[in-house]
Amino acid sequence: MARASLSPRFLFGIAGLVFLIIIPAISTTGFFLHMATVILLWTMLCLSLNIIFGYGGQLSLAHGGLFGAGAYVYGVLVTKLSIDFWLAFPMAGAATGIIGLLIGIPSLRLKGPYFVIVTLGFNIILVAIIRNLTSLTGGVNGLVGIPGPGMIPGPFFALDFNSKTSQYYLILFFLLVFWLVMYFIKDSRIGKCLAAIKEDEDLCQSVGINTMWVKVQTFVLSSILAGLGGVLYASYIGVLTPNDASFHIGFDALVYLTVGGIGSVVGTILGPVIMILISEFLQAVVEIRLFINGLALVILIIFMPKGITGGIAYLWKKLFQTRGKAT
Amino acid sequence: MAELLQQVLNVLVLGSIYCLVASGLTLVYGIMHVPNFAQGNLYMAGAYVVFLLASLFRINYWFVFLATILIMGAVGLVIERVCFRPVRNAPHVNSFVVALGVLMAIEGLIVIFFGADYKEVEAPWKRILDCYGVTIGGQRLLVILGTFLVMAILQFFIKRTKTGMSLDAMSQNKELALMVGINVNQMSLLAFMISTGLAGVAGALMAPVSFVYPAMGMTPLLIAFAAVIFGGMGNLSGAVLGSFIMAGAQVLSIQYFSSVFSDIAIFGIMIAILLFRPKGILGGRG
Amino acid sequence: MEETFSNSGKGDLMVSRGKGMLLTVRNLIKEFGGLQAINNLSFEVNEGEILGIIGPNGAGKSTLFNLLTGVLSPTDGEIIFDEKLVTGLPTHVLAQRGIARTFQTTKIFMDQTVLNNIVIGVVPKTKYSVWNAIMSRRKMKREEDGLLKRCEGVIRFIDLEKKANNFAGELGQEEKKRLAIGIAMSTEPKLLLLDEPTGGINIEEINHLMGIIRKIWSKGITICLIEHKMKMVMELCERIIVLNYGTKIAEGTPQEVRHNEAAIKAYLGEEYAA
Repeated sequence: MARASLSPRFLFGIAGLVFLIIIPAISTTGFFLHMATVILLWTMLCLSLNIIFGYGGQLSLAHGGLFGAGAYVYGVLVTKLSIDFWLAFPMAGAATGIIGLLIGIPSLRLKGPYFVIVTLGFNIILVAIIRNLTSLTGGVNGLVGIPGPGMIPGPFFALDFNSKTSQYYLILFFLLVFWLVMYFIKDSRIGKCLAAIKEDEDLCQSVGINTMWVKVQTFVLSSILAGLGGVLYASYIGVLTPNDASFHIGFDALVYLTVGGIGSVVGTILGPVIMILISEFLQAVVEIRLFINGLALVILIIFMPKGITGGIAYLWKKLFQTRGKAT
Repeated sequence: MAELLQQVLNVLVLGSIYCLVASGLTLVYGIMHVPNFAQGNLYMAGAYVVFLLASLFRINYWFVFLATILIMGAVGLVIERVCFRPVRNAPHVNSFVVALGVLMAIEGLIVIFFGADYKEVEAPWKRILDCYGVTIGGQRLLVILGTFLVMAILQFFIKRTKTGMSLDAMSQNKELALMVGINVNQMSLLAFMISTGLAGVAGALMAPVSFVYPAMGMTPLLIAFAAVIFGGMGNLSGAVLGSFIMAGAQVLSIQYFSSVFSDIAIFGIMIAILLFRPKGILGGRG
Repeated sequence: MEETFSNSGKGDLMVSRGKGMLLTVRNLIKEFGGLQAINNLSFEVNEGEILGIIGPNGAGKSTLFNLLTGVLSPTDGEIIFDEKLVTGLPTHVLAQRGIARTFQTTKIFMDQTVLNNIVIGVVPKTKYSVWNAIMSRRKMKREEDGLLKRCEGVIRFIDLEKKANNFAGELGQEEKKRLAIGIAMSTEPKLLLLDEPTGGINIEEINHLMGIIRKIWSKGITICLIEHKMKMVMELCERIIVLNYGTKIAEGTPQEVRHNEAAIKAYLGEEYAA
C-alpha cells in the first residue's frame, strides 16, 4: 500500500506523536500531566468503542462495563492474589475478552436498537456482579491500594514505574500499540469485511462471509482493548469503585468518539482532548459535565455526524478541491 | 393469601408504570422507527416537574398532575422538532445516538437544577386502605386507577377518533398512509408528544410513591423496552401485556432472590426475551 | 438486434460435464403463518444446464431462491446440493459450498469501488480473522497480488475494466447488474442463481447481459434463471419450470412449455385479471 509519505495527514500524525512524547517535558504542573494521562486513558476506551462501533457499525453500550471489568479483574489479581502487573495485565485482558465473548455471542445476533439495549442490560449486569462479589471486589466500597507495575530489571538500567512520568509513558506506549492494532484491522481483510457488513450484511453472507464470526471477533478484540484500558486506569489511579464500570462511562466514551469522529483513528484522541479541555475550561463540576456531554452528542450527530475530523476533512476538500478517482 | 394479594398489588402498581412508559416507547417506534432511549428519563423528568410544582411551589397535586402532562407534551414537541426531525433521513444509528444524547442532557439538566440526592413528594391522598389483610396506600391505588383511566382514554383516542385512527394506520403501513394523505410530519410529532405525555403521567403518578432521583428512569426504561419487544415493537396491546408480565417477573425475582440478585435476574430475563422472541429480532431466518 | 442466440449456436458451445444432478429439491414446503409460499415443490437441476424459472408475480420464485440460499429455512422438505443434504444450512456456508446468487434489487456495495466489491467476494476463500490481521501481515501482503489478479479477471469477465476504480454507486443501471453478477462470480460458484438479472434495462443492454450469462454457462457453471422476459428465457434456457402459487405447474423444454395449457392459463389468467 503505497501512500505519499509526505501527505498532510502523515505530517500531522508525526507532529501529534512528537507532541505526545514531549508532554511530560513541557508539563509545568503535575495536574497538566495528570490531565494528559487521563486523556490517554479515555482515548483507549474510545479506541475500543471505535473498533466495534466505528468500524463494525454496532453501537455497544457495554464498554463502560468492560472497561471496569478489566480494571477490577486486575485489581483483584494484584491485591488479593499478589500477582505481578506484568502477568496480571494480560490475564485481565484475556478475562475481559472472555466476558466480551459471552456478551457478544448472544447480543450480535440482534440488529439495530435491540443490540444497543441488550448491551446496556449487560453493562448493568456487570455492575451488579461487581457490586455483589463483595469479598473479592469490596462491593460498593471498592478496592484501594492497587499497585502499578513493578520494576523491570534490565541489562543497563531498570525500568521504574514509580513516577507519574513513567506511568504516562507506559500508558502512551500501550496506546500506540492499540493504535497500531486499530490500523492493522482497518487495513486488513477483516477490516474490509467489517465495512461491507456495515453496509449490507445479507450481501456479505451471500458471498460466503461468516458475518457472525467476524462481528464476534471484532467485539472480543474491542472488549480486550477496553479491559486493558481499565487495567492501566486501575494501575494509575490505584482506587476503584463500581462507578468505574458504569454505563455512564460508556456514554461519555460515545460522546468523545462522536466529537472526534466515529470511525476515524485521530478522532479517538481528538474527542477526549476537546471535551475534557472544555470541561476543565468551564470549571465544570461533574453535574454540568453530563448536560454538556448530552448536548454535544445531540448537536454533533445532527450537524457534524463525522465529528471534528470529518469537519476538517470536509473543509480541506473544499479549500483544495481535490478531485479524481477513488484510490 | 393476603401475602399473595399484596404481591398482586405490587405487580399491578409496577406494571402500570411500565405500561405507560412502554406504550409511549412502542408508539414512537411504530410510527417513527426510533427507539427512544430517552423515554426513561422523560418519566424521571415528569416526576421532577411534580416535585418542583407540588413540593417546592406547594401547588395542589391535582393541578400539578394536569400541568405535568401538558408540560411534558410541550417538552416532547421541542425534542421531536429539534432533535429527532433533523436525523429522520440519516442512517438509523444516528437517531439512536440522538436519543442517548437526549437521555444524557435531560439527566444532566435535572442534576444541575436539583442535585443528585433523593427527593420526596407528598401524596395527595394519605389514606391507607386496608381490606382482607391487604394494605395499599392511596397513592399506589391512584397509580393503578390513573393508569387504567389514561390507557382507556388512549385506546378510545386511537380506535375512535380520526386522528387516532390515522396514527394507527401509519404504524401499520407508512407508505399507504402517505398515499391517502396522512401528514407524516404531524403524526410523528403527535406520536412523540403523546409518548412524552405518557411518560409524564407515569412520573407524576409515581413521584409520591417512592423517591425521586435522577437515575430513577433507567430500570423502567430497560424493563419497558423488554416489555415492548416482548409484545412486538409497535404493538400497543403487546406492550401493555408485556409490561405486566415483566412486572410480575420483577416481583417474583425480588421475592425469591435477594434484592442483590434480583437486578441480575430481571435483566437476565430481559436479555432472554430479546434473544428468544423471534419476531423481527433475529436476522430473518424465520 | 444481434442474431447470436440461435439454438445451433448453443449446441456448439455446449460443454457437457457429465449428467450429474447438481441440485435436487424434494417436497419443499414454506409456510408463512398459514400462507403456503412454496407448496410441495420438487425439481432437479442438471449439472451444466441453464434452467429457467418462470411464473406470475407472487408465484414464489424469489422465495425459492431464498430457500436455496439459506436466507429462509423450509417448513419441510429437502434440498440436496452436490450430492450432500444442505437443508437448513446458513447462507454463508451454502455460499462457500458453491451456491451464489444475485438479488432482484441489485444488491451491491454502493459506497465501495467496483474493485472492492469484487474483492469482498474473494475474501471468504482466504483467511480473514482478526488474528491474521495482526499476526500474519506479511503473509497477507504476499497473497494480495494473487487475489488482485483474480479480481481483475472477474472484472474483465463482466466488462467493467474501465470502471474498476469507480464507485459502484456511480455506475449505470445495467453496469450495476453486471457488477452484481460479478460479485456472485467472484465466489467461483458451481451453481449461480440469477433473480431477474435484466430488470429495468433496455434491449441493447439485455443482449450484453445475455452474452455474459452465456459466457458463464460456457465455463461449466450451472445456472438457474428467474425471468419475466419470455424471449430471453426461451432463447437462453435448455429447460424451464413454471411456478404458480408455490407449486410446479409445468416443466420441459421451451417448446414444450410454450404449448403447455396450465402454463398458458397461469399467465393468461393474470392478463384477464389486469
